[in-house]
Amino acid sequence: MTSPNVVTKRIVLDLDRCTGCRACGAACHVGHHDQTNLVPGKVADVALLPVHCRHCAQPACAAACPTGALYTDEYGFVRRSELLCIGCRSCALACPFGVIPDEFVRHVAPKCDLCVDRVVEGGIPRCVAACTAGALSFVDLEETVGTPEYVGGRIQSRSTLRRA
Amino acid sequence: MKNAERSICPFCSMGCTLFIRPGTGAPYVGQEGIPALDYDPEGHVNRGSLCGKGNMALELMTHPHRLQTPLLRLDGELRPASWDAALDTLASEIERIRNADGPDAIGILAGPCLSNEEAARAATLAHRIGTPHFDFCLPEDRVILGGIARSRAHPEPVTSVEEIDAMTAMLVVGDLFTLAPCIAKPILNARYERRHNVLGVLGFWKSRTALFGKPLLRNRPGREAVVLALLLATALDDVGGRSVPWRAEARMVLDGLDRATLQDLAGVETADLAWLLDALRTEERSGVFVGCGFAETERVDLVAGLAALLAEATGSRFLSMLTGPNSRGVHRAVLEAGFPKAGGLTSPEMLEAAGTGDLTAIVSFGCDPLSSLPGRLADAAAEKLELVAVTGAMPSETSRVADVVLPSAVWGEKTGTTWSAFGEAGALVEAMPPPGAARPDGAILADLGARLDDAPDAPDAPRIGRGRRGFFDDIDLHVRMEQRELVGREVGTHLLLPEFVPSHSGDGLFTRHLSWPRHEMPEPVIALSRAHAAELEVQEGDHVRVRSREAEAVLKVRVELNLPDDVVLAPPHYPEVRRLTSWRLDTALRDLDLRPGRVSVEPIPEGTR
Ligand code: SF4
Repeated sequence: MTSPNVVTKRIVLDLDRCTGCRACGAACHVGHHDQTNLVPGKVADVALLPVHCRHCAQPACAAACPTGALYTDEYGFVRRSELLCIGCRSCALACPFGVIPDEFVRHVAPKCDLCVDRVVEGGIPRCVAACTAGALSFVDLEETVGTPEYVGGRIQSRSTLRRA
Repeated sequence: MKNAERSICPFCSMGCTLFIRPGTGAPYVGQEGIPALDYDPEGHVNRGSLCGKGNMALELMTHPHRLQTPLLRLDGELRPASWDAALDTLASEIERIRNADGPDAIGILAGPCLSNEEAARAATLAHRIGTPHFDFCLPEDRVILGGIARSRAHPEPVTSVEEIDAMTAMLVVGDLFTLAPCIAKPILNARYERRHNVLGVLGFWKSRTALFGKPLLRNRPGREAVVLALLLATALDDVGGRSVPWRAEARMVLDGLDRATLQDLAGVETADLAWLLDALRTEERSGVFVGCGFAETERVDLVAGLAALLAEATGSRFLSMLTGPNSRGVHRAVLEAGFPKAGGLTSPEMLEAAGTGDLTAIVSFGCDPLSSLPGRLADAAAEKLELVAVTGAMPSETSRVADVVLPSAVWGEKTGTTWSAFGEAGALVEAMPPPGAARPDGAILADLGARLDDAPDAPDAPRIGRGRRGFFDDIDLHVRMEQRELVGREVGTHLLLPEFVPSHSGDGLFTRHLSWPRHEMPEPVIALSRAHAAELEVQEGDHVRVRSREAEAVLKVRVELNLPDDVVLAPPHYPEVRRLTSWRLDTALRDLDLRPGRVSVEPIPEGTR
């Protein structure tokens, strides 16, 4: 992807701070017309965490899509066309992170678009804006990936999952 | 955001701010005229965040269930009417009852959705009618405000979130992060920004807040008051002869109970208590926070009062979060106007008096008394009352039985000021006009008042005055401590505690109608411990029948790993759950006794549901 428009920022979760209030889900739900693109992940009955789409460089969901409804857009975001999606759930099965929810709304797969409408205007995704605990941030991957706390889309927990 | 109006979230007392951009078209809708919501990173209490409720602010304003036209009950049926017809009828009905039964047959209730000015206007209306019965009506919040007032503690209040950011020792009583999720940001800032800090969380299970406890003071279910009393006792002993801003009353709280008994009842590690207490007392910036409606309540009033006393004793700042958006402001307006007057009734007493026929009319502004106070009190009241008039934005339990229903504006559709948990005046703005013919409560009150002025004055003869004492008469906390049994009522086998959900609020009046709360919890769920579920041979998603002394309900099962085996949790935002609780009037406190009750849970055999 060499488009000058590529956005290298992604959503990062600080495991130490998430309280599991699901405000991120509510923000997503409101911003996407009642379609919630953000799945909650349950960690061993201890915590409820949002599991965000990574917007992979080589998206397995897009490869699995029989109609070409999933594609990488000019910003480098993996998007879903409402028109082409036939609700076959191949993407949900293919996604290695399980971020495509099983509850289909209006017969199409809920798919995170990183709130592209806000991001192109210099804003941040709704879930990050709404986070009540300061756990979500929208940061440049190129800066974050190198830092020791960062592990696959999250900031490593110092205590969260051991805090129980 | 262009053309955006900064508004206040209409759901809890945190007072978060948000932006509403009217009619410029929301993304994904691509339609002109659809308002949009945006976050307010400069918001001084929430810095942009909005919880599961706050995100629904706009949906509340544009909701299809919104009441849009006045309704009058004619021939037993609610029919649309003009404002003039509705207000004329209401005014003449009030007149009629005032002449027939006396002004004190009429009760006026004010809910937490009113602005300070509207609450003051409602007080004026009560004056004008001549009734001594005017009160704030949201049980959870009334009880907590009452408890703090009765404790006569005057801790330094927390006045801004920046103060919390800088704290090095904190005690959170109950599941505060569920009640007001946006408070998590400053508390976790304080928790993680400094190495040596203490965040004590008092709770009986690993709630959303308790997960962050350092230390987690894990008490026996329903024994928060005991732990707080123990902390207070220790604090008082330790301060010895030092001069502390202390009152004789605080000592009295503890005199009746010896330390060993308290220790035994509390079930909390002594070392943790000592660590926490030491931190609260020695750290310069410390705070005690309580949330109303926190799951782990025994006597909410007692817990709140003791927490306030503890804050005072340890020199910590104090913050109490309420479920209603302007409970503090409305409650204050009621007291400032001198209500309830001599012989006046509190809101639960009004319902009781209505049930016995002593009160013939209830006019309620911005609240839903029959869903806030369900059960026998409310049923009897609904049966007996001659006139029920209600203003409201959404259909409610009260509007269902009302004779006059007046559609009102919500926050974001009216101007005024409010009083948040931080004790600051918030300004409401009118970002959008109310839907249809709905009007702000203030305008309704002004019109109704003007109509009553035209009417001749009725004789001022008290009819049901019972010579009651003043509102916050000196009922010492220690009396309560001795009188009450320390465990819930012995009906059924399991203690039923209310579980708040971050997307629902208070009595659920509004949130029950909104899409995200419905998505999150489409039906009321009962949380059982793993052992309890195994014993009943039920699994997550099954339904069970729950019986209490008051009522029974069928609820869906959620299995909760961290719950003690003799406790079940259910969300109080659903009327069916609220009905299960024992809503009794405590005649000494003149308020509801919100002690948790016991229930029994039975599986429902396959195919019989
Ligand atoms: S914490 Fe309270 S004020 Fe803030 S968004 Fe949630 S309900 Fe609204």
